[in-house]
Amino acid sequence: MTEEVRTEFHQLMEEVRADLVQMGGMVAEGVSAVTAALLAGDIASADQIITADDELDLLSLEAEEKCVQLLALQQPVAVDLRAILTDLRMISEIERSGDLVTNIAKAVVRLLGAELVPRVRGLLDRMREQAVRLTAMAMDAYADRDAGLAAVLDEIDDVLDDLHGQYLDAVFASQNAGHIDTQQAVQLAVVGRFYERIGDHAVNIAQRVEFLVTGQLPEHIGANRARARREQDEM
Amino acid sequence: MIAALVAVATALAVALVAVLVLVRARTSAAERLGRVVHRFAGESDEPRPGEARLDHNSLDEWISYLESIATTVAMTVNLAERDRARWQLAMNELAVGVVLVDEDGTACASNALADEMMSARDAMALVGAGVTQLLESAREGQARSRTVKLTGPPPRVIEIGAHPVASDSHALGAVAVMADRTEGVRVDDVRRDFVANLSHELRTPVGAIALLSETLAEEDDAAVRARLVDRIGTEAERVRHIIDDLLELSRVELEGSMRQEEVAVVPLLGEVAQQYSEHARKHDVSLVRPGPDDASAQIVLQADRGQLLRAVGNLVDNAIKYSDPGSQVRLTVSPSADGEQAPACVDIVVADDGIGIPADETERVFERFYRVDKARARATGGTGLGLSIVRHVVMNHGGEVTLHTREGVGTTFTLRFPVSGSAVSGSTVSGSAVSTDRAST
Repeated sequence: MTEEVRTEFHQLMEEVRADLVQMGGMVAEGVSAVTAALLAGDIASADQIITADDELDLLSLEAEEKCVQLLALQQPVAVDLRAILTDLRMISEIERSGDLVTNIAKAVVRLLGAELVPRVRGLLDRMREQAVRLTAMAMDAYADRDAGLAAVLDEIDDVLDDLHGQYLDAVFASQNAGHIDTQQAVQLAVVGRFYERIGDHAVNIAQRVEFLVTGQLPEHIGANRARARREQDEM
Repeated sequence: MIAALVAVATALAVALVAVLVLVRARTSAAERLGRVVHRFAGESDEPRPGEARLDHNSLDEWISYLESIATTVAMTVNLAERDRARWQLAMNELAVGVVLVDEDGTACASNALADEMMSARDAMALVGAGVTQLLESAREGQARSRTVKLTGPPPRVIEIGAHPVASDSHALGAVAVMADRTEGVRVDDVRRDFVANLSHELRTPVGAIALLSETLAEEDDAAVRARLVDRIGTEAERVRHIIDDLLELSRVELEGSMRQEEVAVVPLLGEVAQQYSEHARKHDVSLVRPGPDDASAQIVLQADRGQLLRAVGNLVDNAIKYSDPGSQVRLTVSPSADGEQAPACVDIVVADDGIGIPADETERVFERFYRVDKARARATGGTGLGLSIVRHVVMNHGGEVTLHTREGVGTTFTLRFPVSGSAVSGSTVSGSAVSTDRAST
């Protein structure tokens, strides 16, 4: 690559990186906004959040196009290739988190009029806090190429998983106490699952960052085992 | 012979040419040097006649001139660096974030606040992305601005704007400014809501009294009349409460804490517990407070006793109201050590396991007449002024009130009062001996 082409290449990669950080910000804000809408039963806000997801979809398509352009025109190798592959996988992870925010927004409408007891409200707020935190940390690890931070994210996600468990107990306790009907309880349980999934996507992003920095994925350990078994069978 | 002569002549000619070429080369180098020197001196490129000759005197002159130029350049660079550092530090003092980019869009200057906002990876990343976009269009000559609202909690409102930077219509880049408007928006909300809430709180009972008395005038049934009279009494009581609290609040605001005296905190907590024991019994809530044997029993504050009683009382009143039957409200006092020195503060804590306060309301509960849950607040009979009074009392004593809460888990209010070193004795608190006013029926 000539010097000029290289600069252009890195500038485009930098743009993709900025796009991804922006998308992460949109998810973090989306989770906060949709939780506020859910707790306040605010349908107008929920509608706005559903519309705002189009923006995220557009941005992810644009970022994807940039990645394809980089792959097709510059034929990157080694670290650069890994970086673009990471970006491509990350785009879909963040985009999925955005869809989950939209799913929660749709549930706001279905849950209108449901009485959320303080314990359920408190746990929703704590799940919001953890989901936002995990997303921001994953984006931090990505933007700073911080494999160490990425490695601890999985453990931090346990907090959210634990809250999710407590939340389900609280929802069904509230149903048993007659505050909400079965349909509402199921809807609330599904909402809890969405928060938990947003955390999982953040962990996936962190794993991609680890791959980017170290060239290793957690799946590699399992894959190596499978490969060893296959070789043994052949012998 | 002739051949030899020719050879010698040729050799001479070649040598002469070589010398001429060498001299010429040195002369042209000297000429270039002369031109450079003149350029540094800010004079014309053309050497003055006779100066460009290879001449030892002028060479020495030029060298010493170049040396002086090197010194001047070093000084100028140093001054420029200091100037830049000064601008950077001054920019860091600004209450707004500033980013300056050149005509290619490369950032050439930014202040600390901007760096912080631009490097955020949570929802604040939207501010960074917005700034990048606005700078892009500002570089093309179009000034734009935008407001970014973040839900939080805590909610943030950031106003961003970008302007082209040009000198005589020659584009030099663009500048972006990001300003945190959160406080301004909040103050506007408070002002708007205060007037609405005040008129609502006063009008409702007064309107009810008017309506009830009208009905009363036309009613003959003794039982109904008795009920109406009872309702009028309740509503009148409500107005009286609001007026009392308003007066109390304005007194606390105006007076400050004039009557400072030594207040033993643990007995004061006992007094509050006594005062609200009936209230607690009604809600089946137990009040837990340190007993006279507790290590914290020695803690003494310089304070206005009446105000302190009122502040802690208001918190206990709230805690009982918003607690589930069978739960506890805990009163504690402890010195909060500031480093290894004598404790700098005393914390009075009122904690409950009640319904808690929604995260996005915690900033606003100290406002006058602010209600988290309008319907419930009326049912519990508060005036909406209790926490405003608490905040003012603590402010009068130079302290601060903090609030930790989670819906469905509970709420903890901490009143932190600064103390002079001698005012606190018994700085070790074990928190073991507590007496419980179990108020179950």
